[in-house]
Amino acid sequence: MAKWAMAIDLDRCTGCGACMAACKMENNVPIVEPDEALQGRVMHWMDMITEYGGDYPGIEIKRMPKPCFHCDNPPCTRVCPVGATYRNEEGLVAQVYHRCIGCRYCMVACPFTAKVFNWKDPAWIEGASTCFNPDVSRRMVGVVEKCTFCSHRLMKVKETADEEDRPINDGEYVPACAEICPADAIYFGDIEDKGSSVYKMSGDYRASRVMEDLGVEPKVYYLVKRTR
Amino acid sequence: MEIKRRDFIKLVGGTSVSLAVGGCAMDEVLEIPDRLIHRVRTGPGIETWKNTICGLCPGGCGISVRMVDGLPVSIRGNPHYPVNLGGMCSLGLNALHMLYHPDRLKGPMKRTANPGSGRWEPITWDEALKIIAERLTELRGGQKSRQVAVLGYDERGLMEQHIARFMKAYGSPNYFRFSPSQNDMVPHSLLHGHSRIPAYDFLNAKLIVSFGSNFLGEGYSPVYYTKLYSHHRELQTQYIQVESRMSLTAANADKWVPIRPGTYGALALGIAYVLIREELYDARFVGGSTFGFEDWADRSGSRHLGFRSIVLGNYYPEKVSEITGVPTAAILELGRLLGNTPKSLVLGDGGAVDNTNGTFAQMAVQSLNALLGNYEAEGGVFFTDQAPVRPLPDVEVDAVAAAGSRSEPLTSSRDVPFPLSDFSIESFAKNILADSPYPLSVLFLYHGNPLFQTLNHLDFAGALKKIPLVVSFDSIINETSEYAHLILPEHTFLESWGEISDVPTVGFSHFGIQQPVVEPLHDTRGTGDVFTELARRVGGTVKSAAAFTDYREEVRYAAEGLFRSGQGAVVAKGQKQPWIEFLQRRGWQTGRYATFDEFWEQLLLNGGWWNPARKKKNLDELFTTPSGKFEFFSQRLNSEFNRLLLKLDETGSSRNLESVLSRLNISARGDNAMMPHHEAVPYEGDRPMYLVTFQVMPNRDGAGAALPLMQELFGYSVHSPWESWAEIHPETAAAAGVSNDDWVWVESSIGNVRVKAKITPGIMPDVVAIPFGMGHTSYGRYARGHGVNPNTIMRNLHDLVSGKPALEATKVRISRTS
Repeated sequence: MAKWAMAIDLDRCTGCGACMAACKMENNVPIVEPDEALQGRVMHWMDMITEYGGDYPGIEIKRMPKPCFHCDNPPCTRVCPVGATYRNEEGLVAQVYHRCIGCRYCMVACPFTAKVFNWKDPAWIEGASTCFNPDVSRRMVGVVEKCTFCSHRLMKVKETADEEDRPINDGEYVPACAEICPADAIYFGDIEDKGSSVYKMSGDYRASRVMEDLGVEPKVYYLVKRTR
Repeated sequence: MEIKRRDFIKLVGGTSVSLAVGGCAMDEVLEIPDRLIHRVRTGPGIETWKNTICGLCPGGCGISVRMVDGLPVSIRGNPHYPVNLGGMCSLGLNALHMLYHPDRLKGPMKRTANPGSGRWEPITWDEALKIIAERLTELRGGQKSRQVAVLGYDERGLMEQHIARFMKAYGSPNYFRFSPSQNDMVPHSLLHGHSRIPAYDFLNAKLIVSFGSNFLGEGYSPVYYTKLYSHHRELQTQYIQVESRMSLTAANADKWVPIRPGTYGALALGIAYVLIREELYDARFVGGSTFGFEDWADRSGSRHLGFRSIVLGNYYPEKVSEITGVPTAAILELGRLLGNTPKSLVLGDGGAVDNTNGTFAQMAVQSLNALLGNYEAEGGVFFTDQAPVRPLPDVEVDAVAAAGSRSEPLTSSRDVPFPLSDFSIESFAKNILADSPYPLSVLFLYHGNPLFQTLNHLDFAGALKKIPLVVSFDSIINETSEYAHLILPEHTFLESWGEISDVPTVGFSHFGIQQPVVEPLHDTRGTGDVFTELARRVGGTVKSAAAFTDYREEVRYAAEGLFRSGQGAVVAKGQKQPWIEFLQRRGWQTGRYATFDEFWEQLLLNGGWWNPARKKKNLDELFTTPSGKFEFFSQRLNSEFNRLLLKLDETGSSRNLESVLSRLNISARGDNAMMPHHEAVPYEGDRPMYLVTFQVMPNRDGAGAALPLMQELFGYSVHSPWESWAEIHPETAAAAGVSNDDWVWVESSIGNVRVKAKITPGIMPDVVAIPFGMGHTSYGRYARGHGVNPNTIMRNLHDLVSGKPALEATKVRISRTS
């Protein structure tokens, strides 16, 4: 059974934000109204963390794209009172929107603030919303949503691979962010497959996971910047 | 078996959900015509892909558009297109929102009340074209063809030629473009002789020092540079960024060197001092291929100081440190690092050139490349070849057209600011207001938004009100087209034909084909076709500008040159480095297309053509200056000053070079004025902070503000959706009693803006930075009324030589709003 994981090379990543836009377009993530956005209700499945370090003028700006980490030991699934979120056999932490009652326990439980809440039905400013990708359902008001690793793409790839009676090749299934990254900084694939690029990257000397001591076993690895 | 069955159910479930949702949402979304919605609702859901080129910025990325039953639903990068190799920026990914924008004009419009009133009524294409054609015919009949002008933006290649041909056949010298990069080539032309923007061999360079060039976030093609940057992290290429504010590029560089705005040229010359003093320069190149390095004597025997003497005499590190705020040790270190690292490269742009002294600063920066012997060297500077497109046939020019084209263009001015600028909106507006040397009767506005983007928008707004007929091609009404009398809305790039070739600074010649991926959603037309139609309606010899049935035919005609040249190849899978090197050794040839029709078909299928093989040039064929060499002493600038001297002489106002220089507000005297030097920016003394601006990826030149998603992502790096902000250093903020997210006034001598403070250590303590792109008063429902436009508080200053807007020449004061 495949186990899908991601590695983000922060040495290559410039922090341009293209992954954020790609994600929103691919997954029909709502654009919220400006005043709501300013209250912190912006919905990004792929977020960007900015952190400053160093002393002037040796300032360092670290930018870190942050999707859902699809933890192997996910804290969000345990607190869900209705079983609306679960970890499937392939390691994807999935959401069942129709079951979600909007209690937002999972948002609190997630140490990485990966989840966002639909405060409104996804129609906004003069009737416009953003449903473009017909492969992804729209979410309704009052439910929690988050990055799915573009699992709708996995379904399609599986279909093709099944038809051709072969395993899924490395790089055949990648989420939108990894696909369009202009810096080729996002690696994605089956971490159980020793030939996959994500397996190699996750074993790199620069690789680590965020807050590893929590024991939630995230499946997104970050490779730190090389220093000169 | 079990797994497969489960997957099957999942698949079916997934599909049914998506169908239901796809159906329900599409009509609420932005704005999609009913006929297309209907097709998607009832269609079989067949997915197709089509390649084209993104048209939202000049970068020219190849894109693949995904369509379901012919309706575009998403965009990816074209993985084989060499500029972006599948990469995309946020703006390009969002291009479909432009296609479906609810404020797109559905057809031609005629303004019925005052500018800005927003009162328009629909008009048919035939009526609109009739009004314009009649006016054009009438003017031409009265020998007044020169009273027609086209103000373009950043169009290049075929579209530029298309408009130029129309204007030539019609008989007017007044076709201008005002894009921010319009006068970028001026400093290069002074040093190199020709007006080509150099490309930089990032692939092989080991050290890249950038003076203000935010190539990862702004500039010509950020995605191209992002690809280069990320692929060379493994090669240990070192990046150093000299800039007042930590831009996206500075944040990714190995080292950031903060510098006071307006002093980039001084730092470059300080580095030149180190290179010369410590003999770290390339003596062979400097000795053989440059002019004006050593002291020299002209034909009349008068002595002139060379670059060496001037630099050694004036730009010693202590003095440069005082001007720039860069510590002496850092200047020495930079100079030694550049001199001792083989394949080190220098480039300048952004803050370095967007100032009153930008031309001289860029000359100083490029002089470092000459000192380092970088021209045509591995890891250095080179000039790409042009794609061998087939030149368009000549137009017929009758007596009226010939006389019209010979007239003085409306941009030239008697009081001579900016001797070398192709175009300055400043003199254009003044001339229109003064009817000098003749009145302007018809103005076509093609792309861009001068009233939002320029510094002296008030003059230009006055000029627009004065012109009897202003025609715009905008598809969303913006600040400038509010003043138009007629709007002939253009297709979006996803509905039209075009080409984007040879993007400046991209390191190989290429030709990207823009083709419609969807039939036009509304009653819009391609502007190329509109000019053709106008040429037909005016008739006579003007008709010769309408040699092609439509713009598609014209693109096809131009592309035939690529096929005939036998060079390069249609972009395709697998054109990777080893293959290119192999072909380069054996001569690069296509050979795979028997006929042009086959070539054209491949071109449309794959999205473009490129030629990575480039023959190395000899140094003596590189420069087209009077000396045939790289000119530290620009003879072209010298003769330009002499020409102005004669011009001033006619009016009897002055006699010597000094008076020319003082008329141009250039403070340097003598030979210095023709050479790279530090020209102090005339900052006002009574305000403590420098104002700088920058572009963000989701917005670029202000055009991204129409898109709701880009507005939301506007301040993604500082958590400021839909809002402008001012970046302030922590020390400065503490002194002013400002905390993060406080509202502050940023006040200049021109005016003030109210913005949220974002406290960041990545900026000099006496600099405040505001992003450009927000603060629209028009341009659709999503752009209007969010954030501020920093250009509105800038002094109306321009580069003294090239006329580029001086975006970092204003000083401000900040205070908390109470």
